[in-house]
Amino acid sequence: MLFNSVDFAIFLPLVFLLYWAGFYRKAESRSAFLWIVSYVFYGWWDWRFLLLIALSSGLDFHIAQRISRTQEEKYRRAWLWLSIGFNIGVLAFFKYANFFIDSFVSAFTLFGADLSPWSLQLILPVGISFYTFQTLSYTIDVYRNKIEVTDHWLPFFAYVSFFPQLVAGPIERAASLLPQFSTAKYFDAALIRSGLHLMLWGFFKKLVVADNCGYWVDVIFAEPATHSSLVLLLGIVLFAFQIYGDFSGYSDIAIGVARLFGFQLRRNFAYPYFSRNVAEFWRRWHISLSSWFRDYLYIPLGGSRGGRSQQIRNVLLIFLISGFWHGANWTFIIWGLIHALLFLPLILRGRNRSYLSIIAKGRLLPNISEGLAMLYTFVLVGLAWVFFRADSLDTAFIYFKYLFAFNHFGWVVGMFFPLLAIAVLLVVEWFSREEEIVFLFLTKRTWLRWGAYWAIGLAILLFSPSEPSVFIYFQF
Amino acid sequence: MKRLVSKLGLYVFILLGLNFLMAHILGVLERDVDRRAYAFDKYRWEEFYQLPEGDQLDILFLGSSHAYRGIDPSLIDSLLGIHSFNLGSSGQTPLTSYHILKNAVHHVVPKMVVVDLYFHAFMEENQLSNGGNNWLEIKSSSAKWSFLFNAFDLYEIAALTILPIIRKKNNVRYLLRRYLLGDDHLDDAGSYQQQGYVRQDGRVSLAELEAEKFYSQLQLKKNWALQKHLEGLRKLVHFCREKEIEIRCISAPMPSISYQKISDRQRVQQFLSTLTKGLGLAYRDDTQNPSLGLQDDLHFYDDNHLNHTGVQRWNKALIPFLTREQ
Repeated sequence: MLFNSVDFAIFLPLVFLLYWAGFYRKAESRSAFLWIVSYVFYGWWDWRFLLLIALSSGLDFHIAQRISRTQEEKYRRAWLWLSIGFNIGVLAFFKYANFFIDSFVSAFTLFGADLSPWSLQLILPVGISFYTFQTLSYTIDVYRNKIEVTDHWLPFFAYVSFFPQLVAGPIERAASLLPQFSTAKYFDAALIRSGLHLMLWGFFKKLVVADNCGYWVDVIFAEPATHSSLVLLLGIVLFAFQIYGDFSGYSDIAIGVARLFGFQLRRNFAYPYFSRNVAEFWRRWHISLSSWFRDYLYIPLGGSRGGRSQQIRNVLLIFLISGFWHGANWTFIIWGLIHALLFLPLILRGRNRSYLSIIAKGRLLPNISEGLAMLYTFVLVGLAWVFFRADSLDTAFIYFKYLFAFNHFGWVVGMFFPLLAIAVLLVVEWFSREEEIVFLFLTKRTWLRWGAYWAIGLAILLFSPSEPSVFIYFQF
Repeated sequence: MKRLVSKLGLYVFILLGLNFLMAHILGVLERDVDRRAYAFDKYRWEEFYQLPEGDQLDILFLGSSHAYRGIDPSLIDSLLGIHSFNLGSSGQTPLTSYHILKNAVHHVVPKMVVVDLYFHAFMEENQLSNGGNNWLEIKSSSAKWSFLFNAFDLYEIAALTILPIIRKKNNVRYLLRRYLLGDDHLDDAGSYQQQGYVRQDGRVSLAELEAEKFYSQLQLKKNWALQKHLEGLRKLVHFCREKEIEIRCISAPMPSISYQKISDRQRVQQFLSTLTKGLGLAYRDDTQNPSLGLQDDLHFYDDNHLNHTGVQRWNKALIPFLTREQ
C-alpha cells in the first residue's frame, strides 16, 4: 500500500480510530493489533512475501533467545553468524542474484558461450533492505549485550513489521523502538499534532516537489544526448530535489504516521542540502542508514582508529557497500566510490566533524564563505547523483559529455513549475532549519500557520499527479 | 482528543471550501477556453442536447480523437442524405463510450452506432482525463450515477464531486506560465465545427513525424488491453443489441511513419480483428489502407490524426461500409 494512495487514505483513519478506541490500552493488544495491520499493509502489495518477513522475524527472535541463554562465546558467535548469514543470504539472493548471474553470463559471452537461459526473473520484495537491517541490529545488539532479549514474540514481530517504516525506513534500532510496544500509551495531542505536521510537509515534498521533478528527470535522463547543457544542468538539480523530496517526504510521513499511534521514530533527514561539506551532508542524509553502517560496520572494522591505510580502507569499504546496498548496478558502486573520494580528504585532515550545528545558526542568512561552501557541496553531491540516476555507466558518461559540451543553452518552459516548487521548499526549509518540523517557526502567528497549512493542502491537491507514483526507495 | 479531532475537522472543512472557491476562480480566469481541446466536449454535448427529443438520428459516432477529428458528420450527411452526430472525445475508452451511449439514448436513440477502435484507448488507466468532462455534461441522472460508480475509481470520483480543484491542474500550470513567465503558448487544438467534428487544416512534415517518439517508446505488455475496457466494449455491444441499435466498428488511418514505429503493430491489428470477430461486429480497419491514397505529409496534421483534407478522403471511402447491409 502506498502512502500516496486512496487505499491508504481509507486505511489510516480506520486503523487510527480502532487503535485509540481500545487496542492501545494493553501491551499485548497493542502489539497484536499493530502486527496484524502492518501485515495487511504489506500484504496489500504481495501477500506471499509476508512469509519472508515472518520467517526472518521468527528466526531472529529465536536466535536472540539462544544467544542470551548461551554463555559460551563460540556458540553465541555461531548463532549470531547464523542470523547474519540467513538475513544477508536472503537479501543477496533477491537483490543481487540477477546482477551476479548477468555479470557471469556477460563474462562467458565474451568467450563465445551463450548462457542467457540461466538468467533468473526475481521480484525484489519491497522493503527487504530495510527490515533486514532492522532485524539484524536486534540480534547483533543482543549478542553485544547492549539490549535485553525480548521474551514476547508479538512485540518483536510488530517491531520488525511496523507499517509506517516497514518499506523504506527510517531503519530503527531495537533499543529505541522495541520497548515502545510495551510502554503504556496515552492520547498525546501534541505528539499527534506534530505527526500531522510532518505528514503534511512530507506529502508536499513527495507529491508537489518530487513527482513534478520526476517527470522531467525521466525525460532528460532517457536521452541526455538530445538536450542542451542548460537542460542537463537543470536535470541534475531536478533529480537532486526529486530524490530528496521523495525519500525525505516518505520518512516524514512515516515518522508522522508513527506519532499518530504514540510512537517516536528516529529522524532520517536534517536539511542535507544546507550542508557545508560532504561529511556534514552524510550526517544529514539518510541518517538511519549512515548510522547503521557506522555502528555495525565502520566501528567494528576499527573506524577512524589505527593507521591511515586502515582509515582509508574503512571509508572506502563503507561507501562502496552503501552504494551496493542501493542496488546491484555499477552506477551505484561508482556513486559510492565518488562519495568515498570526497569524504576521505576530510577525514584524513580531521575536518569531518567541522560542522556539527546547522548553517547560520541564530542568523537569517549565511555569510559568503558558508554560502559558497554550501553551493560547492551541492554541486559535488549533484554531480555524483548523475551516476545514481543513470541506467548505466554509459548513460552517465554521455550525460557528462553533453553537460560539459556547453553546446547550446535552450531550456523547456515546462521545467519552470518544478523549479518553482523547489524554490518554495528551499525557502520554507531554510526558515525551519533549526527545527525538526518545518512549521515551528510560525508557532506564534496562528493565522499565518493555519494559512500555511491550507496553502500546502491546496498545493497538494492542485499539483500532485493523478496516478500515485511509487517512492524511489521502494526499489532498494 | 476531541479538541484535536475538531481542529482537524475544521481544517478539512475549510480546505474543501477553499478547493471549491479556487476551482471557481480558476474557471473564471481561464479566458482561453476556446483554445482547449476539452472545451469541445461541452460544445458537443450542448449541440447534442439541442437536437429535438426523439429526433431521427441515423448514425452516432463514438471513440477517441480519431473519431471526432476523423469523421465529419456533415460530410457524411451530405453524401448519404442522413442525419449523424459525433460524440467522440479525447482518449475516449470503450468503457466511456458505453456510458456516453447510455446517456445519449435518453435524448435520442440512434439507428446505428459506429465506434472507432484505437488500440491505445484500451490501455488507458486514467478514466478521469477521458471520461471526466463527458460525465460533467451528462443529464440523465441514472446514466450519470451509473457512469460515476462503474467507470471511475475513488480518486476520480472525489475529483468529480468534492475536489473539483484536481480537475483544474492543467489550467493552473498554464496560468502560472502565462502570468509569471508571459508564456501564452497553447497547442493548436483545432476548431469546433458542428455535430461534434473538430477540424484541423495543418499538415505535419515528414521530419516531424520521424522525430516523434510516442509510438516508438510504446511498450505493450502481455495483456496490454485493460479488462475494464474490454468489458466496456462488451457492454456497449450488448446494450446496442438490447436496444436494437446496429453497431459497427472502424479504425481511423494513421501516418505510415507513425504506424511503422509500433513494434507490436501486427499483434495490435490481430487483437482488434479477433476481438470484433468474437463479438460478431462488422469491422473496417483503415489504420494502414493503401487504397485510400493517403500521404503522411499531405493528409495528417500530427503523428496520429487526419487533417481536414484527409478526413474528406477517408469519409468518402467509408460510405460503402456505412451503407452496406449486414
